[in-house]
Amino acid sequence: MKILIVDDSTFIQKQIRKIVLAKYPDSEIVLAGNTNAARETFADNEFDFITIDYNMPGENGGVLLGDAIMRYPHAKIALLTANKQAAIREKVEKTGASFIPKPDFRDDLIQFLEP
Amino acid sequence: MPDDAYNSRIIENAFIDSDLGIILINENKQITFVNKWMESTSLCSGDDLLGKTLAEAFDGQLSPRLIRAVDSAIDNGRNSVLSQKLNKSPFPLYKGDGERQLGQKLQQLIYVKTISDAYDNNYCMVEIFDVTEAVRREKSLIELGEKSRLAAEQLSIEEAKMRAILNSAKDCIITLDENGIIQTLNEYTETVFQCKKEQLYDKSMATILSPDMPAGLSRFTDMSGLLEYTSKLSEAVELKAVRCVDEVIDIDLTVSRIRTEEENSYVAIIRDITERKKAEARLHYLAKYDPLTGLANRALFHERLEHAIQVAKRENQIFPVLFLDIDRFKNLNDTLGHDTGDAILKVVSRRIKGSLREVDTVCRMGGDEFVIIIETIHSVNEVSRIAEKIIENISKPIRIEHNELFVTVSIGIAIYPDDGDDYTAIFKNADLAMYEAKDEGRNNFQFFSQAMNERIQRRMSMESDLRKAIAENQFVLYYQPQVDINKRCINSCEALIRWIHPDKGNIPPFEFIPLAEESGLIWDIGKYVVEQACRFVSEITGRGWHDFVMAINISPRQFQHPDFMSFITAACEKYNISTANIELEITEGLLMDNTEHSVTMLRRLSDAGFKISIDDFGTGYSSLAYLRKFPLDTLKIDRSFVIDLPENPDAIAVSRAIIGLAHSLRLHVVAEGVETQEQMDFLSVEGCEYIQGYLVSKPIPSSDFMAWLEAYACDAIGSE
Amino acid sequence: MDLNETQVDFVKEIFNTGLGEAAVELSELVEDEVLLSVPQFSLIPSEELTKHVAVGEKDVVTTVTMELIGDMSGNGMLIFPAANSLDLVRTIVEESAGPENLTDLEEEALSEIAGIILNHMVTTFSSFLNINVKTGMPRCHQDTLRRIMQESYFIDGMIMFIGMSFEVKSLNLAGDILFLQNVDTTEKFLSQVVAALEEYDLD
Repeated sequence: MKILIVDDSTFIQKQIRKIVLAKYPDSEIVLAGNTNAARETFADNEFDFITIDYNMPGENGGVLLGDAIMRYPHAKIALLTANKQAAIREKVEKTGASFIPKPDFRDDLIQFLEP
Repeated sequence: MPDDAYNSRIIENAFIDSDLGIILINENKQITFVNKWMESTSLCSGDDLLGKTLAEAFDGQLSPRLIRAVDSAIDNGRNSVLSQKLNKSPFPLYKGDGERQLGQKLQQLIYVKTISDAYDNNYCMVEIFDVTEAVRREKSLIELGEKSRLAAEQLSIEEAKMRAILNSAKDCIITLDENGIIQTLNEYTETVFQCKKEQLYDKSMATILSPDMPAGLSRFTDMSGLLEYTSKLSEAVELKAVRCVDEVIDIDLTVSRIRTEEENSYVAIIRDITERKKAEARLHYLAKYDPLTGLANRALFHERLEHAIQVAKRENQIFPVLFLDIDRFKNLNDTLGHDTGDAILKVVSRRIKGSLREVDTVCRMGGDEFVIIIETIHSVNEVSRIAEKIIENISKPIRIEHNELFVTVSIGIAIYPDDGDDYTAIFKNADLAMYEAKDEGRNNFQFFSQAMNERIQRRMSMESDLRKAIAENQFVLYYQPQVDINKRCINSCEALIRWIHPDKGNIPPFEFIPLAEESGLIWDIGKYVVEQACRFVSEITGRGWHDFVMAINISPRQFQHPDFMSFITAACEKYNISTANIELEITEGLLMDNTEHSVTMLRRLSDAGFKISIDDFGTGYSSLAYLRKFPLDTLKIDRSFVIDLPENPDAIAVSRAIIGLAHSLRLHVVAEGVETQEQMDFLSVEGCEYIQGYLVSKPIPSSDFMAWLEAYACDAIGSE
Repeated sequence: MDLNETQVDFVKEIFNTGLGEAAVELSELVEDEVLLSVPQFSLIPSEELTKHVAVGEKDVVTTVTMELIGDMSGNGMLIFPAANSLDLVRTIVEESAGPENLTDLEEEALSEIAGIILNHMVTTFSSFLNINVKTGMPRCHQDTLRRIMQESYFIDGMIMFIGMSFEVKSLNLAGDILFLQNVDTTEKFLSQVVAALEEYDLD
C-alpha cells in the first residue's frame, strides 16, 4: 500500500499519517508540502491513495487534484479542506474524487481508506 | 430604598416601552419576553410568541442565518450583527397593517447578544432596529452620489470632448492668465509655432508676438492691456507672430475674457493667416500691377495719383504727371508681331524706370501708354530734364532677337496744381499734352498749356460736329475753274469741299480737314468728295466735254488707306468716266513721309490712268531727285508765292524756279490763288500754263460751274 | 514561549478551519462562493504591528473589532485598507455607487461580515483548545491605523497576526486578522496550544 499525503501543515500530515498507519501498518507514506513537491513524486511512484489539502501556499490543491486523477486513474484520491462550501464540494465530487471536510475528518478518512 | 423586584419592574418597563424591538430567549431557546414595539410591528400579542422558539413563533419565516446567530449566542456566547444590507428583513415586521397588506417589511438591523444569568446560563437578547429611515437616507445619498458621479462622468466626457475639439482645431487655442502668461495650449499651437508645449508654458504671450505691432496695438506696453483691449473688439486683429524657430508669420488674433469669481483669464485664438496674406498679396499684385511689365496698372496709378495730390495739397508742393506713348507702336506690333511688341514694352518699361528715381511711380495704362508720377520737383526745368532723359534713353537701339529696333516716344506733361488739381483733370491734360507732342512730330515732349486746352476743346467739339455733318450730309462740293492761259478757255477745275454748318454757316476746309485727318473721319469725307466729283464729271462728259479734268484733293490718310485704289477706280466705273478725267492732288509731305509706299501707289494710280498733281508745291522740302521718281503730271504753285507776285523778288524767283523745274520734268504748272491781272500776266510770261483763283472765279456750285463751262469750255463740242 | 513547526501548523490549521467555517456561512449569506486563505501566522509585539500590515500608519483603514471575554480576553480585529472595505461591501451587496465613505448601513454590513469571520475563528480555536471565550458586538471604525491602535487596545500587548485574503464575486482583497491580548493571555493561549496538540498523540 502506497499513500501520498499533500498538505502544507505538518499537524495535518501527522494526523493523516496516524490514521493511515492505524489502518495499514505496513503502508509506505510519501509526504508533500505543496503541489510542486507532490508532482515531483509522480515520476517514480505508484500510489494507491492520495489526500490533497485545498488551501496551501502557492497553487491550491484543486489543480493538483486534476493532475493526480490523470496520472493515477486507479488510485483513490481525496481532497481535504476546511472550506466546506457547497460550491467546492460539488466541483470535487464531479471529478469522482472524495471530499473530506476538516477539522473532524477522522471518520471520513478511515472510510476513504477502504480498498 | 426600592427593592430589587421594584428595580426589575422599572427595568422591565423600560424594555417594554423601548423604541427598538427586544426579544429575550432562554437557554432552551424559548421566547421569554417581547416588548410592545415587537408586538405592534409583528402584529401579534406577546402571548402568541412567549414560550415558543423563534422558528415556531414566526412560522419558519426566519432565515437560517438568524436562527444560527441566536443558537450560537446561547450555545457559544457569540454576539452577532445582522445588517440590513446582508439580511433582507429577517423578521416579518411591519409598520402597520397597511404595510403588511403590501408586504412592506420594516428594514431591520439586528443585534444578537448573549446574556449570562447568575447560573452562567446563556440567554439571548435580540435587538431589532428600524433602519427604514436610514435606508431611505442612504438611498437618496447614493442617488445623489450617482447623480454627481454621472455629472462628473459627463463633465469628464465633456472635458475629453473639449480636449479632442481643441486638439483637432485648426486654430491655436491658448489660455492665458490675466497677465498674459500662457497656461495651456492645444496641439495645433505646437504645429503653428513649431515648438513643444513645454517651451511656451509659463511664458508671456509677448514671446510669441512680433514687437512689430499694428498701429492700434502698439501703445500697449504690457500684455494685460493688450489682451483686455483685444477682448473688447468684435473682430480679429491682424498682427505678426514669431515662431520658436524665429520665423515671422501673419496671424489673426481673437481674445475672449473669462471672468470667474477667483480670477480673470483669457482665451486667445490665433489663426495662421500667412498663406492667406500671401494669396492676398498676390491678388493685390494682380489687381494693381501689370503682369507683363511689372509696373503699376491703371487702378494703382489712380490710387497713387490721388495720394500724390493729397500729399502735394498738404505740403503745398507741385508735381508733374507725364503721359507717355510709344510712337507708331501699332505699326511695330502689326509688322513685327505681338511677341516683339511685348518685348519692346518691357524694354521701354525698364528704360523709363531707369530714367527715374525709385520713389517715382511708373504705370502702364494699357497698350503702349505709360504714365509717370514724379514725386516732388522744384522747377519746371527739372521736369524737362527728366522728359529729355526718358526720350534719350528710349531712343537708344533695342536689340530683340538679332534685330535692332528704334523706338521713340511722345510725352505730354501736366503739372499739379496749375494744369489740374484733381485726378481727372491732371490725367486728361497730360494726355492732351501728349497728343500735342504727337502733333509736333513725335519723339518730343510737350507741357500742357491753357491754349492747348482750348484748342483741343474746340477740336473735340468740332470733331463731334464733323461726325454729325457726315451723318447728316452737311457737305457740298464747290468747283473752281482752272483757265488755260494760252487758249483762254476752261478744261479743268478743282473740287473743293464746303461744310455748311447749320449754326456756324460755311466752314472752310482748312478749319476742319486737319481734324478730319487726325480723327480718321477724312476717309468718309474723302469718299463723299470722290463720289460727288465723279458724278459731276460724268455730267460734264455727258455734255460732250470728254477731256475735262477734275482735280480732287487726296489727303495722306486717304492715300495710304489700303482700299483707296479699289475705291477710286470703282467710283470711275460707277459713273462711267475715264480715269483720265480725274487728277489726284497730293501734298509734298506725303511724298516725303513714306517714299517707297508712295512710289508704288502713285505708279499704280498712274498706270490706271489717273493724273497726279503736287499741291502747294514749294512749301515743303521736295528735291528734284524725289520728283523724278514719281509719275507726276502737274505741279501747283502755292498761293503764298503767287500772292506776292509780281513785285516780290523772292516770290518771283520761286515761281520761276518751279515753272522751270516743272517744264524740265515735262510737267504742267498750275498757279493757285491768282487774284490780279498782273499776276496772271507775269505767270503767262514765265510760261505757267494754267491759273486758278479769284481773278477768274471763286469756287462755285456745280450749276454755276456748268454755266461757266457753257460759256468758256475749251472743247468746241460743249458750245454747240 | 516558542512553538515548534508542528505546533505552528496546528495553530494555522485552527485558524484555517475557523476561516473555512466562516466562508461557509458567508457564502450562504452572499449566495456566492467565498474564498478565504491563511497565508501566514505570527506573534508580534503590538508596537511592531505597522511593520506587518500592508498600510502605512497614516493611511485610513477600516477596522472591525470584537471584544473577547473569558479564557482568552482581548480583542479580535479585522483591518482593511479603507478603499478595500468599501469595495468589499459594495461588491458583496452589489451596489456599484455611493458616497466615498462607508455609510452607517455599510459599516453594519462590514461589521456583520467581520463578526462572522471573528466568531468562527473564536469558536474554532475555543473548540480546538478546550477554552471558553465569549464575544462582544462587532464595532466598525474608520481612521488612521495609528489612531485606531492608540485609542484601542493593549498597546503593551502581543498580537497574533493572521494575514488573510478574501475572494468573493471575482473581487480579491487582502486584509489582516489580529488578535490582541496581553502577554500573559498570549502565554496562556500558547500553552493551551501545546496541551491540545499533545492530546492528538502524534509522532
